[in-house]
Amino acid sequence: MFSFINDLLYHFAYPKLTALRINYLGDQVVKLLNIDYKYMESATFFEERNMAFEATSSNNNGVEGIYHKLFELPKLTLLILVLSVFIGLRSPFILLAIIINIAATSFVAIIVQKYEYKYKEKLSKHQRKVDYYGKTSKDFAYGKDVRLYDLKNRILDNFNMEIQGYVDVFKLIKNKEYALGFITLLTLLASDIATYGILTYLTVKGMPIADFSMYIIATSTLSLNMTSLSENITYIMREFLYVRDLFKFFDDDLGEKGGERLALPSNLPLDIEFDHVTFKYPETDNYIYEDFSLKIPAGQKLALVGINGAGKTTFVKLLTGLFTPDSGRILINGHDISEYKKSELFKMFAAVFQEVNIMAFTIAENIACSLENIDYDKVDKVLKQVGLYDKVQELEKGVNTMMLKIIDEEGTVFSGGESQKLAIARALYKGGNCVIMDEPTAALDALAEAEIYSEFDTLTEGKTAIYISHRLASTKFCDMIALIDGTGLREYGTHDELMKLGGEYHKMFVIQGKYYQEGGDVA
Amino acid sequence: MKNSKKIKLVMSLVWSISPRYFFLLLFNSLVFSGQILGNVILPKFLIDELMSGLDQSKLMFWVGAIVGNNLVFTFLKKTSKRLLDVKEKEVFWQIERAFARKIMSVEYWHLEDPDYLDLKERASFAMQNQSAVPRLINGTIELLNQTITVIGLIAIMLQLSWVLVLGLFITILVMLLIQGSFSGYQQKFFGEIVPINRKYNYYGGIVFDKIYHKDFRLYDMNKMIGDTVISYNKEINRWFISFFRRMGVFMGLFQVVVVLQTVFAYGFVGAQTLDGGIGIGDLTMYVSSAIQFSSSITALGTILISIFQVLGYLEPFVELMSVPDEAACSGRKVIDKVDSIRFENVTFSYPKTDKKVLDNISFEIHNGEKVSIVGLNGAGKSTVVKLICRLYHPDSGTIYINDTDIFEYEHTSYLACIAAVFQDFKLFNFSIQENITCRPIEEDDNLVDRILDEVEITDKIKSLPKGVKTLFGKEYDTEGVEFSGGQSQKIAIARALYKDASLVILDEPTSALDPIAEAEIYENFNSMVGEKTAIYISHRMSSSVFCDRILVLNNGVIEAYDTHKELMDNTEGLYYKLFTSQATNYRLEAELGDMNVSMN
Repeated sequence: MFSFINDLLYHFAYPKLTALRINYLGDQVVKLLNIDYKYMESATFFEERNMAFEATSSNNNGVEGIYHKLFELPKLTLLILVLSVFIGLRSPFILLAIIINIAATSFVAIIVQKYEYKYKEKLSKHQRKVDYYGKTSKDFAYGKDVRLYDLKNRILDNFNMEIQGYVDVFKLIKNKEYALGFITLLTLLASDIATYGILTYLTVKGMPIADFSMYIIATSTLSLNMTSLSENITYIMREFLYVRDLFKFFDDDLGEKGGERLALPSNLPLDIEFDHVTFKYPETDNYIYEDFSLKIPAGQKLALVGINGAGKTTFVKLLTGLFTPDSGRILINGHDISEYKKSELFKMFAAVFQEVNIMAFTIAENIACSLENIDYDKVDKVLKQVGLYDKVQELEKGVNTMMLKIIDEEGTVFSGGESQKLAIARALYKGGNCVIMDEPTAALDALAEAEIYSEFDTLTEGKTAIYISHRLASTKFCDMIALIDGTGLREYGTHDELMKLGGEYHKMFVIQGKYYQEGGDVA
Repeated sequence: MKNSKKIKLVMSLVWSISPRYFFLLLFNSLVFSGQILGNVILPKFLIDELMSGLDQSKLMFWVGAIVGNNLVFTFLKKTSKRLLDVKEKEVFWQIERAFARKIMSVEYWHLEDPDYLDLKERASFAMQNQSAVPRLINGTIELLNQTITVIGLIAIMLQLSWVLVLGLFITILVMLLIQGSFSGYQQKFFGEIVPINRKYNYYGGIVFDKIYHKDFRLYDMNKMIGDTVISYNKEINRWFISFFRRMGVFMGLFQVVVVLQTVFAYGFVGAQTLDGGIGIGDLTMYVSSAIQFSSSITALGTILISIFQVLGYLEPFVELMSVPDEAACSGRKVIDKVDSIRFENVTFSYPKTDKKVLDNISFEIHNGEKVSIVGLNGAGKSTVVKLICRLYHPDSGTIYINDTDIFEYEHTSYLACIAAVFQDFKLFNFSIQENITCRPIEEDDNLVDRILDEVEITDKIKSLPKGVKTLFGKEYDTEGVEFSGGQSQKIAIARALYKDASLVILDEPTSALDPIAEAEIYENFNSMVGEKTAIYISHRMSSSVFCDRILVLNNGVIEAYDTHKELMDNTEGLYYKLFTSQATNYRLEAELGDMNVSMN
């Protein structure tokens, strides 16, 4: 009966502890979604914070693991106390021998733990490499290149090498544990000799056989429970490190808040100024901008051009507050962007990035970026504006069709061009005070591209707009053109002015137009 | 799929990775049962000795035997643990590696079939989160081992009475019944939870995937994503609450039977002792046999549940591992050079879709010709290229290279003939040089330097601390260097040029390049490609001016296949429309540019 209730209670309580962990997991996700974006692009962020994320990763470790173990502690302690008194009264030597043995075992466990900690960094470095191959080699997206460039064996060989590298470090730790284990063998021997020797001696001296059996069982139960207790304690100590990192992650200010200032009313275009901005990406040496200044008056449509690596996309990341300049200021309507509350700052921009990442939500949810209060009329309107409406109407469930096939097998997959249109639709739905388009037409065919160009004015009406493109034809419908290079602003003016200037922009435009010109001649 | 087949596949896979692993596990479990049997039998002799003789040297001997037995087995246990800990890690990763090998070896079309993607996700989940393979092997060996222990214990108990054994068997039967009904529920449960688990994993996964985080922030999706993750989290927990409640009842019942069993054993053996049939030493031995027996049987039950559960998890892994390798599906003919390509009535739609991407198309590309494929988004341009690369099978019709069906060629030699840069090309976290040569670094390679020069990226490479030996990307090692989209594209083009294949395919090779780099690539390309056959796809219509012929695709059919000149004459055609829509943006201004030049 007791054991029935015991098991029942244990299993009823178990998911309750899991629920506690899930609450932490929820907090963790929310925090991760709000911290400064720069951490996301940091190669080491996830590695450094690994312990914090591990702390909520399963039933058997971190937060939940500690809870489970804590629940066992009182039971174990009580049992050990009773048995110790019982045995101690009969023979303190046996008790002493058992305690020494357990103490030695715990001692070894702690040393091994410290040793493990010492090698943690080295091990995680190897882990990272093994993980890279574990992930890349199974990633379907690499499938074409692996086949066409016959990289299979190369990758498998490297993978094998990394596995060996990892195992070698792991072996070091395990060897230490094994070697130290010999100490505990000795203390085990001592405790066994004490137990059996003394009890046999006492029996020879007249203790009843029944007592002999009883004490044998009592001692083995005691040492078993003491072992569990010591294991539980070392376990909690180890997992506590993870939990500590988790709370540190919660407590650390990772820039999720920003200042106090609120967003401008949505009908007001932004007045933007880069004031002597210097910037390089964290953990790199190359300056993207050195002393870069540029003004974008409210309502202006600016085309940002430049060669690869000139820092066009970085401009967007700085402006939207995803990264912070090393020195200099970025002002919006006269106020440094750091004064704005992060979420309010983000609210003002509708940005379309080069790479479009569609998620497994419905089309409407992907556009509205929300699960509730979706304005379906507005969704339809923006779909029409980007020329996706007909395509969506053809789908059985229309705007409520799930994207991707990973969640819903009936889900739909858009081509690169269609995805780009969807991303533009999302920006239109959002509105904001400033529209940013970073190579929005790279994957579009010529007709779709022309359509976006001709719609550009309506798309950006009453807003400040920044248009980044390698297709220089697009610059013609912008008010101003800023050409940037390795360090900062190189040419600035209208299309006609820059063509007259005969500098870099002129050169680029002529090169790109050259073959159209020849083609035109033929026609 | 049959369970026996799954076990067989997993076992032979692990055997091929490390036979030693099996022996270690076997050794481990023998040590385990050895210690148990020793602890059951040895105390009997000590007690018998205490009861009867009090012969000091004999007492010493038995105490020594017990202590020694314990010591030796503890030592053996520690030894096997040390060996197994390391071996298990190694085997785990080697299984992952075998998994990766399979994914890299199957025919490519599997990889774009969402069903296989799903299969892979589920298989990975089972491997990573459930450690399915080690659990299966461990379980199987434990099963063997506990069975041996049980048989040994039965043999001991049979010496006393078959009634004891029979009685115990009846209780076991009851346990098995309880077990059976629970594992039925368990299997159903884990079947039902799969889709929810998948959702949870997907949404939980994107939170940790940095590519989405710009959008999360700028589109204020934090709430949407956070709510979704938490709601699936809670849903999963709800499922598990009901599961654990059920399990609590089952395990409770199970424990009741175990207790009854112990009571029965004590009662029976006690009665025998009181009758004077057996001595105190035997009593101790039989009772501890019976108790050990119960716990072994419980362990057996748990192992069986776990094995069945794991076999359920392993289903997708086994299914994936059973897909035949591409080498096994392709022909035997060896090819060394592509001379001509001919599509004959080729029709194709992507797996699991109805739309015909290509509808009965036929065309031919001659040796050394440069052909451009143009059309609107979704017209099937990339599909043509993928079919040539043999990444898919046409639904009907045949593709001939050198007048032989491409599937008759042996696959390694076939792919060696093609160098392709795809729209969604991928580079690896190797050194720059290795990314281009696709071979381990041996020594300096002049060809690499020359090609880097041709794609105009030498300056960038030279500015890197280790030059061409610099690692690409930071994911593998923080010492690596991240490249921008355009720079990566140049490396990908360099890789294709280095391969020196007789057919060169470029699918949107310059979409991320600036106008100057683009023009350089175009202008250099014909000389870089030389006499080879080449196929280009680009939305920049100006690129087709360079080509011998242009294949215009419209809605899966060929609208025209002709030279730039001829196509521009048809002002009603798609090509003319596409070309002029881009050209108008340049023409006027280009004249202005010319004016400027002349003014100077």
